[in-house]
Amino acid sequence: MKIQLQKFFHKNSSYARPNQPWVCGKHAQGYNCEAGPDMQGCCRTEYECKPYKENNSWICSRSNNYGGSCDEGPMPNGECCNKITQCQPTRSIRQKRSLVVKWSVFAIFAMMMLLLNSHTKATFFSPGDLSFKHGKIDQCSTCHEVFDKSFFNWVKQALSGENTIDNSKKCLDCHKFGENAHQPHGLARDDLQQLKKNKKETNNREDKQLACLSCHLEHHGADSDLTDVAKQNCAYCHRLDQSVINAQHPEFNHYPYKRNTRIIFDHTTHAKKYYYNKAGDQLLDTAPESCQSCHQSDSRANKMMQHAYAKDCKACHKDIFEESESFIVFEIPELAFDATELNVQWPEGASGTLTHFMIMLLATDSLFVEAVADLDDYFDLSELDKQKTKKIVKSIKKLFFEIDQQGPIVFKQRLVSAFNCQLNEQGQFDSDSLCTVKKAELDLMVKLFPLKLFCEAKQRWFPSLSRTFVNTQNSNNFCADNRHNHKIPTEAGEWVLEELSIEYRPDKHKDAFIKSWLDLTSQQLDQILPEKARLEIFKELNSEDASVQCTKCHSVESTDGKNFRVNWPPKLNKIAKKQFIKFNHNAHIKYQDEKVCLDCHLENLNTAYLDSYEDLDPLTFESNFTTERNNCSSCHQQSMTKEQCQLCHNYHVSP
Amino acid sequence: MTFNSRRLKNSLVLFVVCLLLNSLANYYGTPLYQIQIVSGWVLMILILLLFFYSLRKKLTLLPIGKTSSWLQFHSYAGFLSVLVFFQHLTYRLPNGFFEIILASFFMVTALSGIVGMIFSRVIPRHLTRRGEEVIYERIPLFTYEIRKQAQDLIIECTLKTNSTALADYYQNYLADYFYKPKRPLFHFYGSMGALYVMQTRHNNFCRYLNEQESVYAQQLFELIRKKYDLDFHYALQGVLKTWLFIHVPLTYALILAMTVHLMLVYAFLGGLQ
Repeated sequence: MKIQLQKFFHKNSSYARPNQPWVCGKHAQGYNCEAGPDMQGCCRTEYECKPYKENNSWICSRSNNYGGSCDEGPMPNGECCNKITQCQPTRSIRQKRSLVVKWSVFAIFAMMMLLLNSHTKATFFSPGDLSFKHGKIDQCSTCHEVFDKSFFNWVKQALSGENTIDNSKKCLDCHKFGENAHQPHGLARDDLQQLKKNKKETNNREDKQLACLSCHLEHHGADSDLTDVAKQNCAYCHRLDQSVINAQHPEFNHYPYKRNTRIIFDHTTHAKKYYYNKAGDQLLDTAPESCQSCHQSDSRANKMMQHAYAKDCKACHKDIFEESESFIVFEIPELAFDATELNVQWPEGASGTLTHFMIMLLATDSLFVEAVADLDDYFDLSELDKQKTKKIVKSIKKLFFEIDQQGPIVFKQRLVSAFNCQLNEQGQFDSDSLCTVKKAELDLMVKLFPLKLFCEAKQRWFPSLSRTFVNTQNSNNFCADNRHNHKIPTEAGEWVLEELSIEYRPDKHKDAFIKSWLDLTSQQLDQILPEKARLEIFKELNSEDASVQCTKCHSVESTDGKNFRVNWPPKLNKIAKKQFIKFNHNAHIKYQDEKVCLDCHLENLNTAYLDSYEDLDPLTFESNFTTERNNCSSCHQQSMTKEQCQLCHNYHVSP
Repeated sequence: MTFNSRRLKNSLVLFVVCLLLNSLANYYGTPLYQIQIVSGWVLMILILLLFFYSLRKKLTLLPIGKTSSWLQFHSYAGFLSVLVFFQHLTYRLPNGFFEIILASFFMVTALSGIVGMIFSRVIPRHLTRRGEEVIYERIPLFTYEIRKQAQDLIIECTLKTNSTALADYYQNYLADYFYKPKRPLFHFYGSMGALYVMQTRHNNFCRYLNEQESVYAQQLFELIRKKYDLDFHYALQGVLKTWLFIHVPLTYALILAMTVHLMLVYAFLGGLQ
């Protein structure tokens, strides 16, 4: 028996309307009325058909699907004779689905609105716990000003033009990164442009401002590390392959030897000459045991610092100071004429010359300037005529007279003038002057002059100056007043008053007098006379014949071709400005063999280390060691250990 | 175009779009936080486009492409949206309550969509293999018709054989079976076990019938089998309709929650510019 359920064609099958919201309630009982329920779900059928009138008689209109015309036919009043009971329509499946949609949307909307206006909104809408370091922040409004405002303010804020930079400003309430905090690296635009001059791999994004959350993503739980920044973030500007360090990271052409070491120390020479025997096959007792014998990491474990002079160098180099010779700072020059011929009082037996230090003190005296105006060589006074010689004599005597009367202020005034500086009424440096030295340096210099010896020298060489000069300052006689408390700082060496000269002998490391004069004379002056003296002093203190050769170890570099700088400390104190590169030496050498340093710092025996200092350019440098990028990339790769950029680089370098 | 070639073509298009989006992300410097902003916007546009499919089905008069084409787009864009979603989450689980709820909405919607797509690919094949193809909404009517035929058969048998054996058997064991669709879960798994039990019982019963009654019993079993197939269609077609009860409401809920999320992001990250 074949049973066919699904019938086709309109005469056999009624038209189903599954998209309508309501279905006849008798559908499941095998009856489907023709009209079906209305849109509100009410049954609208009372009779099986609605008869129509034709030729004054009512005709049954029941369709074939429902049995065709009935035998009884319509009632005389036109009503169908087959009345049917009304049904309770049911919802169609589409209608049920639509209802579920409406109710779920309503429920979620209501829940959202309720939560948005409840006290639990912070808990519910927070995108996650704060990191451990921000754990103390318990109010959302600490960082998000709008949080405490109404929901409509949130919407208003969302539609406003305020950008992420504005939102990041709250971070700067606690984290101080300077006025350019949102610039790349926190640097000013000009500084950035200067930095990227030779960086082809950097995009032009110095105009772009970066919000804090560009890199530091909060609300990722207490265990999240805000400083764990993805490499892609760096690649945003630095067009490097994001995958591995050995793919596109620049070679270590200069790193870590970008410039010469400020302290000149030729490792190769020392090793060859002093650490090994003559055959070069056995270490001597004087040799350090390892690199760490002389180098220790700094407090941040970032840089390996040298030991101080007293710890490592002094043991071998103490003779330099203990056996140093004195040099003349001031002496009575020999005149071309006899004192009687000139009718002046002048110490007998004077055979010296004008020293550069004297010229610096006399250079601003008009008498002296007039006298030496035509001289090519200031030290040869034999070319001067009587008048000019007398002026020289008077100028020197005047200096001694003033020292006798006024004391150290004379040195200060003369040095201030010689170094292009000016003093205002309060005795302070005038900021408008061309002064290139610091007040403290000059003050120290003045303190270092041995006033007592000058007073003694004046008494010995020029005992009757008060007849020649008049005390215009109306001050008390400085030298006669024993109450003055002028003391030479202990950093200075030994001053000696000889028969016709005042000499100085540096007898210890960090000699203040030599250091001060080297610093002061390293800067160019715009007056002819002091400039010539300055250069000569600088050369004299740098020369191989100098009493102590500070610059044999403390390198000198030219800052602009005319001015110089003597590098006293091994590293410049740059605490205020962080470096781009960091390297944790401790992490790499701890528990390692003593020779582990040489794994990365490869010895470069054939380098012209000392020669590279001759041009005074710190950037043309040849190190005793080289470092290769492979040293890093052999370990720092994806499969072995961390390789994030910030492992070796600082982003925030602003003060 | 065959199904395989169409799937290959659409998969290739999906692959190209993925590459294109990735390239655009790199070009516009999205490695910074913007990656989440950009992926968020891409995801939102995708979800809205996916949502438009349901609108397209309602707007039958507008000339905006065939529904079948929209369905293809809906399927592949759905897959793309899942990829963009994981990119948006930066491949880690969200932390906040609201974000977990939002992510759950998306995941359940996407999963229900994938499951629905699998159903719509697999179930029709099974439906054509068994029984007559019937319209789902008419199945209650057909159930009634089969019940009516069975009841008519029992009355005829009782009248002609003057025996109530078959009528008693119907009343005791089959009346409830013919009354409404039965065992949808069994049918979903394609189980024939219930039919086998009924057939065994029917065969055991037939041994005690005379020849005339056996003819009626044979016809009755045909109706039993027909009803069993109808129940199978009811169950499987029901599944094809039911998964949308999860997919569609969650889509609306997702769009609502997504709007709140968008507002929260721009309110606390920085306003829309």
